[in-house]
Amino acid sequence: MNRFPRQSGDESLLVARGVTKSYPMASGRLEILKGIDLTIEKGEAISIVGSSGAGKSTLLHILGTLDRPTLGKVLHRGLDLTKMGDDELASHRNRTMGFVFQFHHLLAEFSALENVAMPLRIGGEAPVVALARAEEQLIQLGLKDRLHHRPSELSGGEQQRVAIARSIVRKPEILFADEPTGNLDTQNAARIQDLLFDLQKSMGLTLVVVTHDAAFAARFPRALRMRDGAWA
Amino acid sequence: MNLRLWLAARFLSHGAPPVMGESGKAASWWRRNGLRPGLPATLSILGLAIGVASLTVAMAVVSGFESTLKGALIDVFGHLLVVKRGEDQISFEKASEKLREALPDFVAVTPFITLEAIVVGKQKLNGVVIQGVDAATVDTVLNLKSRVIRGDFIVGREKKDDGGYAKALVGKALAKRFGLEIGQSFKAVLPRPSARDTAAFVSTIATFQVSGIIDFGKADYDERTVITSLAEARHLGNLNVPFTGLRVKIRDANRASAAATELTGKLGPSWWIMDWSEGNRNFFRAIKYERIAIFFVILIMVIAASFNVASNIFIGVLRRTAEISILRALGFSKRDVATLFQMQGLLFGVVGVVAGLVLGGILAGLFVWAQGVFQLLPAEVYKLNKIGVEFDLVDISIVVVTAICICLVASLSPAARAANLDPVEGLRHE
Repeated sequence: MNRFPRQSGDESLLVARGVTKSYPMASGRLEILKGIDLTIEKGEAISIVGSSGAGKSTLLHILGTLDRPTLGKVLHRGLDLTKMGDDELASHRNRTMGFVFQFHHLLAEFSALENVAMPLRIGGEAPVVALARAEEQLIQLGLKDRLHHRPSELSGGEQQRVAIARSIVRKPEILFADEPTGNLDTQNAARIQDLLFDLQKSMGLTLVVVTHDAAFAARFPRALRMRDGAWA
Repeated sequence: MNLRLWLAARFLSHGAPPVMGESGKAASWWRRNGLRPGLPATLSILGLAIGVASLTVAMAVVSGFESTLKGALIDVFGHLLVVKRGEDQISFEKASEKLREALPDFVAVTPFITLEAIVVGKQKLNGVVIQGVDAATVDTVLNLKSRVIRGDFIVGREKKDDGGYAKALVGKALAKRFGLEIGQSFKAVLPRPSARDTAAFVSTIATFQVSGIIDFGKADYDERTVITSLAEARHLGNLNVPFTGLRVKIRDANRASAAATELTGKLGPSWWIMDWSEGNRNFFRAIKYERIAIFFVILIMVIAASFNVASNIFIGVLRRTAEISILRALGFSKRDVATLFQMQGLLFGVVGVVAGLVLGGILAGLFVWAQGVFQLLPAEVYKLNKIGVEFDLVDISIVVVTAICICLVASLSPAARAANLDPVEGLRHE
């Protein structure tokens, strides 16, 4: 198991170079990330572990373009994401990235089907096409009987499976998961872990997972540890 | 449906609508589709609707007031009043011909004679204007028949000296004052200059039989008008002229003022011409300015309601930081987020305006009904005893567009706040 970040060229799928994130404080700057370097190749499965406040979620958000680094850059297939405008970045995120969070973050007013169709609709698909593809995706994940249920009518495990269906329905290159099993019981957590690995293999996904769970992290071929905003 | 509009509508439901209703039956289509707005949104819409309804009713009442007044004036005045000055007289036929030639949009003309008199009876006196009209042509210019509320439009005598009283119609207020009913007679005293002493008057007493009671729509007309035949008026006034004036109808009442100027130019100074609006020009001008003032004063209500809309959208933004963040993660740009909340402003505007127009329609109907039951308008103040409400398409369009624009403007600040939310904020779990 390689526990050290690789250094590689711009041809890699995702590259972080000297990524620093800091916030101004009364007593100076609070550094959350301290010059992180990371290279992720296509199809890799990586886990990032660390204690609370180590900066792993911040790193995931920056890699996923939900946040911008104070210093440094993030390259996706050589494309500098930190230089992209908001509209361009949003479209890029929609096309190439999927996200799963600890809390499912499904939209409460929408059915499972509508939630899963959302990235497709945002990407400009016609409603009928989006719903058909979303249905197909939910059936694949064993949620055939839950298509028209609202998130509040689903169990925790089902909610997370719907969130996973939503994250992969647009066939992204990279799937970012932030504590995907953190809110689940052991049985459901194991199912979700298996599902993520299955999808990574079957779809050739690049999987980047942030977790507290040492056992889950150990299942990854490449597990990275962070401490105080830097690689441990 | 546009994705942003769809999301905006669903987010207004403030809660997850269930698939099944509480009774176990399938929930309604509205509920299933999340289109049932939550209580805060409903209250905001209600506030806006009340503002829009007030604005609609106020505009409709002002328009109705103007239109009722205009209608009443034209019904009893005609479009133009033409009086031949000087000693040399002209026959009705020749005068008609002259007017027809001079006015390109001439429609009809009718002669009249007016006399001033005093109606006496039951120990009361009332100054009146006796108007002699030509029964054969009066309907082509005036609209008196439709204003008869009791009896029939019969004026003068059937035969020249039939021995009975001349028939006349009286204004409804005059009839009420003297307790006149159909078939009853009343006396009118007509003062005439004495032939012997130029400083003195002699009086002629005329007796009329009431053939009809007329609602002129204008309180001062109702109190002071007696309508009889042209021949009877000529006889009572001891006049040797065929008429004292002419009332003319043209194609477009709104062109009457221009037609009067045109006619004055063509007929010369021996003719005196007045259009229907002339005596009330300042009044109509005042209504025009009042309409603008009323619009802006009541618009303040809509603006106040829009603050409620803005705060409602603001609360929505604060409650939905997680949803905004996840939408950003799924590919929504800042602009998309801003558009979503502007769409909420638009939805508030459209729903509020539609509800306001419906409410306004109901209130206007109630206003019309209440006028029939209660004496809402003091006739002596407004000169009208009942006014209609008129929904002017231009007024309604202005109300609709203004209210929706105000709601859109109200949504700009919360929309900007939503767009500038850090997506990471809503995704934190630590």
